[in-house]
Amino acid sequence: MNPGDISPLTILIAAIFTNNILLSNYLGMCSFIALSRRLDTAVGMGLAVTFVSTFTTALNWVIYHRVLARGALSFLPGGLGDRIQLEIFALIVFIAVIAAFVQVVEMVLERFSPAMHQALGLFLPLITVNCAILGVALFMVIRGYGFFQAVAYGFGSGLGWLLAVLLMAGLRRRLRFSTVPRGLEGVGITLIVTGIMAMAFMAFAGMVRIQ
Amino acid sequence: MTTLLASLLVFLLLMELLVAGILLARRFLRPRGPFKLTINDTREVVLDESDTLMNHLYAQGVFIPSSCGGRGTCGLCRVRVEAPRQPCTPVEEDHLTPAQRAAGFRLACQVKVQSDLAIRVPDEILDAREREARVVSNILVAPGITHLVLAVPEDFTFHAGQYVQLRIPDPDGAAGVFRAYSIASDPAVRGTLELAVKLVPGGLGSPWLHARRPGDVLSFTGPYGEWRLEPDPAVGLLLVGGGVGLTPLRAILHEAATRCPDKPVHFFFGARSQDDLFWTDRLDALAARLPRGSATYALSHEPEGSSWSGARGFVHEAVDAAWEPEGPVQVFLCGPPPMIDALRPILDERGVEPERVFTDAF
Ligand SMILES: Cc1cc2nc3c(=O)[nH]c(=O)nc-3n(C[C@H](O)[C@H](O)[C@H](O)COP(=O)(O)OP(=O)(O)OC[C@H]3O[C@@H](n4cnc5c(N)ncnc54)[C@H](O)[C@@H]3O)c2cc1C
Ligand code: FES
Repeated sequence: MNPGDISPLTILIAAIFTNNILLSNYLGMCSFIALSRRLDTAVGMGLAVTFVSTFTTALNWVIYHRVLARGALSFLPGGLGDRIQLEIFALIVFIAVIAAFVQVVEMVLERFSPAMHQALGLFLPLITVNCAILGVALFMVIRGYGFFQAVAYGFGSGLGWLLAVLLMAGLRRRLRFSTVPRGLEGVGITLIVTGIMAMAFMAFAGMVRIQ
Repeated sequence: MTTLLASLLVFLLLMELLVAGILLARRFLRPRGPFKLTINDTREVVLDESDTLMNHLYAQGVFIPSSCGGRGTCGLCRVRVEAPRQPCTPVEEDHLTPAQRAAGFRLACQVKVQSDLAIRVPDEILDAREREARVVSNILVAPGITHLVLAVPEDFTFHAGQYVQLRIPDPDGAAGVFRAYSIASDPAVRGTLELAVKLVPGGLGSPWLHARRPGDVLSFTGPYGEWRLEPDPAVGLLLVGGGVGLTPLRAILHEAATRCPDKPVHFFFGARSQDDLFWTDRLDALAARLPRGSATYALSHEPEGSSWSGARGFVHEAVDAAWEPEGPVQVFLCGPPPMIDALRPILDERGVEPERVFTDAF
């Protein structure tokens, strides 16, 4: 199927279950491991990731397709717009957009909704360096999504990350009381459990396909 | 060539736009000083920039306790914010009881000073000074645990269960950082502090403290902490320590043996194996001074068939198996968080009122 034809709803569901950004691409691991230690931080970070991933994907889509993509600037004089190549800057621009967006959101929240800021404040700066969000932006380009598909993908990936981190926080509560072989304590066992969880998620594989 | 330049130009323009966006947002959204900070109605300072309350207080020489460097994980930096009232953050909720929250308590490291602020700290903290201590001895008593004896000024006094904060040099910051260590020694003995420090590999403070030698000088603030032994001999005492969490409990045993030896005192100490037990001779001697006292050592990872004849298993299991309250009781728990979590239901089951339970997790 042509990627342009998949309905945004399908993409949303796929991004949560079959193509979970964390479990199938192993992106966003560092904050996943750090914050799955406790349930409440896991929820906070998961919500923050969902929010930022949705909006930066939209923003990045617009910037990519209206500025960076080949031919986007064809209104420039002398055929210059058709010759300049900006796609190579996509990576760096996406990072900058995510970082700037997070900064501004943080300031807006701090000013106008202290309660929200306090709920998410701790997690927002961490998101700047969360590779899942960047991964979403890059995949959206590679897969040639349209605007609504991209937004659905961003939103779904955020929810997928939230789901994975929640599950892991639940598992790690139990791990605290188990005897873990020496040398595997902490991160080691978490990575192994994540791997097993990823395999379990493969059970969803036939449900929908987006790539 | 023009293509290349034009590409770069567009790219730079994009970046400039982003930066301009951030600067604009900052210009209009960030509150700016000066702010007036009132401490206990007596001290007033004017602050020029927005920073955390904790950093401002340290800059003013008000040494509120803190052992996590402002990361919001130790819960020690409690202060009461009297005006303006603000809701606390989820980070703080973990460390403040609903009653404390209602009374306006906050964690100073999580409060951003963005307006005038009136706060209240215990008077003793306002008086707390930084003092010097000289290392008398520093000897390993169990794997990874060192017994640090310090000579301190004679005018330094404390209650059993309190802790001090040692200033640790920080390679990244000139001022250094503080780490909390509970006092193990007898509060009746002036001029000496005994601590036990567990080595946290990769840590900033504990490896440095392990490397101190007799004669070295370090500085500390304190004492801090609200643990108070109930002197009434009719109120029983349950002490449960895990690993280095034994430290404040030893001080409490000293105080109980001196002030109220008739108390029923049950003391439990959990460690992994016989090698990890320390100070047992002193603890046994203290328990012997308490006619209604008992000391139980529980080992969780002692090899099968070893010479150990005491309790085996986790310390909370030992408490569950052997302890029943004989009337009103005061409980002190100190050790790793899972130990404390495991003990709470056991205490609930036996009808111990939560406000009688004092805990320190580290
Ligand atoms: C009230 C109070 C009383 C305390 N009393 C004692 C005491 O009597 N004896 C004692 O040894 N310690 C005690 N502690 C703990 C002590 O303050 C330090 O946190 C500890 O020594 C580690 O400091 P550090 O600078 O070596 O490590 P840091 O530089 O703070 O941390 C290094 C790494 O280790 C982790 N870490 C920090 N603390 C611990 C820990 N306790 N266990 C496992 N990992 C950790 C950190 O997350 C970090 O990744 C007490 C803490 C409190 C709050
Ligand atoms: S300094 Fe540790 S919680 Fe504030």
